[in-house]
Amino acid sequence: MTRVLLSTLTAAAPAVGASVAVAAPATAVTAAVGGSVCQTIDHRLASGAASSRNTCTSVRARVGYRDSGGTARYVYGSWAAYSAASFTHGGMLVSRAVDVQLGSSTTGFPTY
Amino acid sequence: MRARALVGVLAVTSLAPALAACAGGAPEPDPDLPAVYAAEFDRVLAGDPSDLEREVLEDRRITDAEYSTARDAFRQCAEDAHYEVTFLEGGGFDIGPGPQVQDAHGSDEEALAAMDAVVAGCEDGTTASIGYLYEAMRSNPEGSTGVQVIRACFAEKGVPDGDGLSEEQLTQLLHDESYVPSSDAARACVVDPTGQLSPGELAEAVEQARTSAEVPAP
Repeated sequence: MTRVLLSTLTAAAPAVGASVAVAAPATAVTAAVGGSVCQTIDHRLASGAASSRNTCTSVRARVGYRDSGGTARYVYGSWAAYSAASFTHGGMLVSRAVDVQLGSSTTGFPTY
Repeated sequence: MRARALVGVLAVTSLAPALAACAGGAPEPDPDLPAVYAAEFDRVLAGDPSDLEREVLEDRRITDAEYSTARDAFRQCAEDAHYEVTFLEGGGFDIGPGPQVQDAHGSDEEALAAMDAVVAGCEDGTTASIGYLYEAMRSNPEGSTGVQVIRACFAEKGVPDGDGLSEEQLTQLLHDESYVPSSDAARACVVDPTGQLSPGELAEAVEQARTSAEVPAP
């Protein structure tokens, strides 16, 4: 599996390497991972390894946040279809920055 | 890895009934299993699978009970490391430090890095492959790649982008950072080709895509 940090989740190429954003405790957050993320990350990986292109079948999002007590935590979404993985988790607010993990037959499935 | 010793115990105890039921012979692998998943089962089993992974994956099927066993093993491993895990409805999980390690790190970065290590170590041999495959095969049963689902979305919405292109050519087009979707419908297909976002989320994502396209990358 490949893990990449994204700053934005858009159809255009997002910047890679931005940190997970954690904001003050708030009411809720929805972090959405668009299908283009797979494409885009795959593309960027492919800059060094062409064989990694176009093989992603699933993604999962991970968001770091601080709970109401101030403790840093993570919430992981489920592995979802290549398209959109979205989840809402009460009690936190983050930017659209999430950490996305890819499942891919050539970049490797979950083998950290 | 940390989880592996535990995995053997859980695998033997939790899967014993299922294994006994299979004593008459392992079930036939699903002949309709998409090649991408079949290859992944093979890859895991040809590597260094844990006892649990071997027992769960060898028939190329993952039952709800097997997935539950894998998650239990993951959670137990995390709890042994003093982290609390809550599985979320619909998949996924929340993890945070228990009282014993809550103040063990000086910064968020250190705390998250420590959690990273726990998740990685505890998923290894438990939910890493089993969880991925279980959830992926249910959310993407055809094992479609991104390009395939985007092409299907384009066709469904009458988007002309990529018409007449081979899959490889369409892949190249979608990977081309200068590619600008021809319409909001096209953007929607690129962002959310299978329509999993809510209307509000999709509108926001499409707007973000449109805005991003107008700002050249630095």
